[in-house]
Amino acid sequence: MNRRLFLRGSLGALALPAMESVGLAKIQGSKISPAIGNEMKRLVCIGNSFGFHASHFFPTDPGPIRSLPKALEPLKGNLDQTTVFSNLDHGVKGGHFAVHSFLSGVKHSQASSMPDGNLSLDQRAAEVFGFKTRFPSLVVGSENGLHGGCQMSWTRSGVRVPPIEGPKNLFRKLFIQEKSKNNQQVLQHYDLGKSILDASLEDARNLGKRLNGRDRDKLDEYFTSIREVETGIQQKEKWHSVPKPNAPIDEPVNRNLVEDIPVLYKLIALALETDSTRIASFEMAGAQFNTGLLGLNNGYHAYSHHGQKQENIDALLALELYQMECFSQFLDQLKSKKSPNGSSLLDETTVLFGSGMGNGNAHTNNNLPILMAGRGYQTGSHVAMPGAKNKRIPLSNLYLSILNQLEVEDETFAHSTGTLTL
Amino acid sequence: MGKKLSLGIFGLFFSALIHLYAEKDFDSTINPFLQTHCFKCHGPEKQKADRRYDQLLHPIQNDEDLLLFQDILDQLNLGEMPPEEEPRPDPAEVKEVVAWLTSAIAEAQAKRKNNGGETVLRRLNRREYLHTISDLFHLNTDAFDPTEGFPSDKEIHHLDNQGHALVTSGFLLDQYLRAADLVVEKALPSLDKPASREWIQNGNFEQGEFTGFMTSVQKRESVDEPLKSLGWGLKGMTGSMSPEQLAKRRKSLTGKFESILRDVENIPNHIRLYEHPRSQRHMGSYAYMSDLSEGVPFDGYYFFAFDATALYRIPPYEKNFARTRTDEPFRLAVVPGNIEVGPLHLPQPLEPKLAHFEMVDGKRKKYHARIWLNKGSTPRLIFLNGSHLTRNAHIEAAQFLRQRDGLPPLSTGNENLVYGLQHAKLPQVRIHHLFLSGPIIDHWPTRTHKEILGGSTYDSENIRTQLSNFLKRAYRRPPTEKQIDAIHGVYLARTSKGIESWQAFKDSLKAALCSPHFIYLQEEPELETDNIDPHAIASRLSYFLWSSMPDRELFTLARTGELSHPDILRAQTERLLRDSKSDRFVDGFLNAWLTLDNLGNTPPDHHRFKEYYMDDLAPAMRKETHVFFRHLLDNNLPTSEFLTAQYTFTNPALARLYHLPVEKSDFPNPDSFIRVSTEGHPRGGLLGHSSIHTVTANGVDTSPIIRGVWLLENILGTPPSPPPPDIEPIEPDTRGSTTIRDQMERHRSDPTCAECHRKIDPLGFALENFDAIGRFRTTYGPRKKIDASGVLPGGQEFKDLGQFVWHFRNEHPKFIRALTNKLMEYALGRQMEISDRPTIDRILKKVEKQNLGFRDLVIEVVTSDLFVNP
Repeated sequence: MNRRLFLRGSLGALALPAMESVGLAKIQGSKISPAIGNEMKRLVCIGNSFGFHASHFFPTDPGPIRSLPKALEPLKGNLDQTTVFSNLDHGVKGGHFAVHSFLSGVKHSQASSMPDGNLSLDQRAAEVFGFKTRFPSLVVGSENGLHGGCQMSWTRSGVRVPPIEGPKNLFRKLFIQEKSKNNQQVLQHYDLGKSILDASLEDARNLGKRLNGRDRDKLDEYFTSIREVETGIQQKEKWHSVPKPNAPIDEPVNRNLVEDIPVLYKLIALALETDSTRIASFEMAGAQFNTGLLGLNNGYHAYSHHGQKQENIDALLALELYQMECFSQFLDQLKSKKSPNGSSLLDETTVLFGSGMGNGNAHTNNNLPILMAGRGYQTGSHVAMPGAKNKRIPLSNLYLSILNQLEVEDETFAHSTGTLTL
Repeated sequence: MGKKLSLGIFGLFFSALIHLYAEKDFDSTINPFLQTHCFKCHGPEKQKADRRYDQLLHPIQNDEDLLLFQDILDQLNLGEMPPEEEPRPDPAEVKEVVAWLTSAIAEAQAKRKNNGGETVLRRLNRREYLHTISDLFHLNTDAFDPTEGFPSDKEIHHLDNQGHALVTSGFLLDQYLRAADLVVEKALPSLDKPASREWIQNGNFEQGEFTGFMTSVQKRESVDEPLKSLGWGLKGMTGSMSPEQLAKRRKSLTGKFESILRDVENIPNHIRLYEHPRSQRHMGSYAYMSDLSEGVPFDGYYFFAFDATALYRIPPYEKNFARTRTDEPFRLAVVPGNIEVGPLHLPQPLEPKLAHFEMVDGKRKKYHARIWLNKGSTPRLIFLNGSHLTRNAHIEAAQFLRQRDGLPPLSTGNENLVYGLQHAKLPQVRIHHLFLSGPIIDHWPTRTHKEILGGSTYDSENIRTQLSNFLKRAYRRPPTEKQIDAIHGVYLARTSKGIESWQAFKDSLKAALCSPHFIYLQEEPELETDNIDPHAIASRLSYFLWSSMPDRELFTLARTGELSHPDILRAQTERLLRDSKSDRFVDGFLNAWLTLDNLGNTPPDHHRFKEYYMDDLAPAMRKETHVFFRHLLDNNLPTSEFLTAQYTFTNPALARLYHLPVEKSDFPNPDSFIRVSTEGHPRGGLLGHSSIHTVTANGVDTSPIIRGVWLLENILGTPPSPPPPDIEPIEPDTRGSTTIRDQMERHRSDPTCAECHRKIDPLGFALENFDAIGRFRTTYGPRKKIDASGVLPGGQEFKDLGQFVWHFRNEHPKFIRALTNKLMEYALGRQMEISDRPTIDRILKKVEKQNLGFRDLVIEVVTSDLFVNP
């Protein structure tokens, strides 16, 4: 019997939780408007662990930015490509333990109460139009770093997307073909995967008949996983005959986060340019943020707890300047690269730069630093949202607008109450 | 005794008790007590620590209320509530209330349907997967890790084996497919015996970063860009140079280095090892056969030999530029290297030491060893006690020499470096000749072959039998016909696609490794007893103490059903503990209980904590705690010794760190650990272990808050409450305070903060005498004396670390309860719930009454009802 057909049938047989079927319907039934012209829309999300010092990041007045806050100095040449937002956040608490909600608007511990779990912005976009490229999305970051790092990207089943760590690995993913196996061998390899999944499915069905309650929920994870891997194999088969692009640079070496950040940005720009993906996320966190290389003596975390001491705040500014400078150069790269239809990459890419941490010193997650750039946000102004307690707008409203602009016609995202248009 | 019978007895007992305590009933006696002493802070107006007691009903209605009642009882028993500043209740009254609460809770527990505390289908975690395939296939996994791409396991309170948290995702299943392929192909590479070969290299070696230097200059350009725009230079690197300057510099350096390579001292004809591999630069950290970069073609044992000369152990200058220890012979080790992982002159993640050598000074000598190498690996020599600042050492030496010889000083660091390499006599080992031969096949067919195939020949006529034998071990219980069908189906599918039989057979083994029967521990209840079946008990026991699958003896006892008997369980526990595989339990448990998995996550500053790197302290710190734990376990010593021991176990490096009065000659060799008395020193017991001091610091400085919270959470099992949700966040302002105690003083002056911090801070202060890597200190910096005094929550004052440690011994009841809970959580793969409390109480009572030791405690865990319940 065709086991793949049976897979679909087994969904009903196990009475999966409602959430699952809603999710699938959303993926299958999502409307994607036909592309206007040949525009290829892209999304890049960048986040760090410790946020930005408020006075270094937010301009004092709303409207066109006339004087740049200190940490934003490096953006001088790209000011007209950006928009700064203030007074936006997800209304969560937890300091380091809430940073991971940056792109999802929902803490992992609260995921079970949401219809889409704690699905993140980038992964939602990937669900809808990730199929267009070899890599539905690329998540760059680290499993290390304080309290597990930024942990920005989450799937709808509440699983953190394992990040690609280090420039070397990202380079290999983008440009290195699997070790020379001939075509026959590779296809047989995919075939083996499918046979194994068939057997696993059969085993799981038989097992499921004997289980109850919480065990069956656990087994559901396994079923979902089988489905995901099957889809993955189908994708790989589809892209197998398409060669990867030629590498325009030499293979980099992994060093430490400080030295790797510019290299990673370069590779992300190349990934977009070669249309290897249209959705990239960059978690700027890791075990080795060598502040020593920037002339400082203490660790980043130590400085983020500045205790209002000026020398610490100055050190923090140096770290923030470095990140901003690298980001500005990334925007330069996007500006200089061309999309197939002639516009610059930056004109076709929506970039979100920020953090799930609001105030690193006090460990709060409100008033998040949010800086948009590229398509849809090329204003050079500061948009100050209402600050009063009962008038605040959820950050998820902005995310919903971003999704809509990417032609994902959802009506809600996490706790959104509407959209946020400029 | 069956559960139903014991419930019956409980029932009888309690109907008697009900008469007794019904007289003092809840509404007339107990509730008024709570009203007087508790409601003010835990009632309708305030709910401190999120607890509210004015809505409790009796009989106890549900789990939440049961938890609250238990809470009240605990606080009264501990004497921690009401807090000191409130009026004290009459002791006789307290006694009555305690007695009443104890009975009420016991009654509620007995009546409760046992629907909580069930182990959920529990997935093997990453390390369990690795050990399991190692045991299943008899694979050497020292330098082979098929799990390296696995997403990390989610932990609950640092426990990495809690079924509920161990999620399976598409990412993981994808990795399982990949790992299964790697594992099976490695275990069963071929049916033909591999031929042995030799490799020799006498010259044309690659010398560390000299070869890599040019490429590293090139690659640093990318980070120079942002720094140039900011107008900064990157410390110690090429700095903010224009592209022209950079190109010019590169050209001049190439010329110089090529000339060294060509002319002076024939470097290409030998390799020089200068430094230990944990230094920041790698100018001469690894010596390897560049002719064998691709590594050996087969897994196996190899004969490795080399000629080397150890030079300048005692350099002929007054100053020891290289800062090496001149009183130790040079020591080398062999580690594997895999070019697929990275350049061979740089450190790699998996570097187990395959052999050790102690060098003879001055003479060219031959050394050799038998080592295990995985396919694709090549042997690399490292200099264990080399310098850790080779570059600076050579530069300094060059400056010294030029001055001594009346020569004009050189202008740049690199010029001095080159001169130093040419002329300075600094500690080094020169490797002249490398030889490798193998694989040396002791047994053919291999043990793996025999185990999987049940013999040497692969029998393509009897696939199903061979599969069934494999699944018996892989699934950890005899497979059902349907389960064999599923795997046999893969074999048939593959052969139908034209794959030859041997390969198809291997492919079907891979399918077994992805099956839920392999990756999950299934612990379903038996119908007759409500216990889990003997095979599940066998797995639970082996994963508890070995983090791996059961062995032949356990399988046999499971098959016959004998394993369900407490006596057999006890005997097996002791057997498993005696086996060296139980070290995995010690490691896994210490990671969870004392959070030692964090050791190494915040590497200390290289300048202030040199010895951490020079003496490779991180593994030594870990080992101290490991050996200490093992000592208490193997000798069945009382658990109080965790807190009261006046000895510890150190190697020479750790003894040095602790300033303990031991001689180098007391140690059989530089890596061995011996028992050392700590009397008269502020060490001994866990509180003195540098592993704990390091893991509770952040690599730069210490924080009494972090240490205090850590002690409360892990040692005492009484974590502080999280901050109340409606509290406005405080923006810490520490300007004007000098010592960390001053900063904490400001936290304590606010009564809201003080509520929790009076429990946290004193513990942390007491340990301030240990710096971020556990060195003892009496001052911060040059003049600020450390004040380690404080008051314990119970009221006990202490004036220094010594007194603190003395009083801390009284916390043993909390300590052993926390330890037992953690052991049980680790053993069962789930968190403790209120329904588990009676078992834990019983165990603790038994341990106290019979003066049981630590090993007995572990046995009590295994022979408890919880261990055989689902």
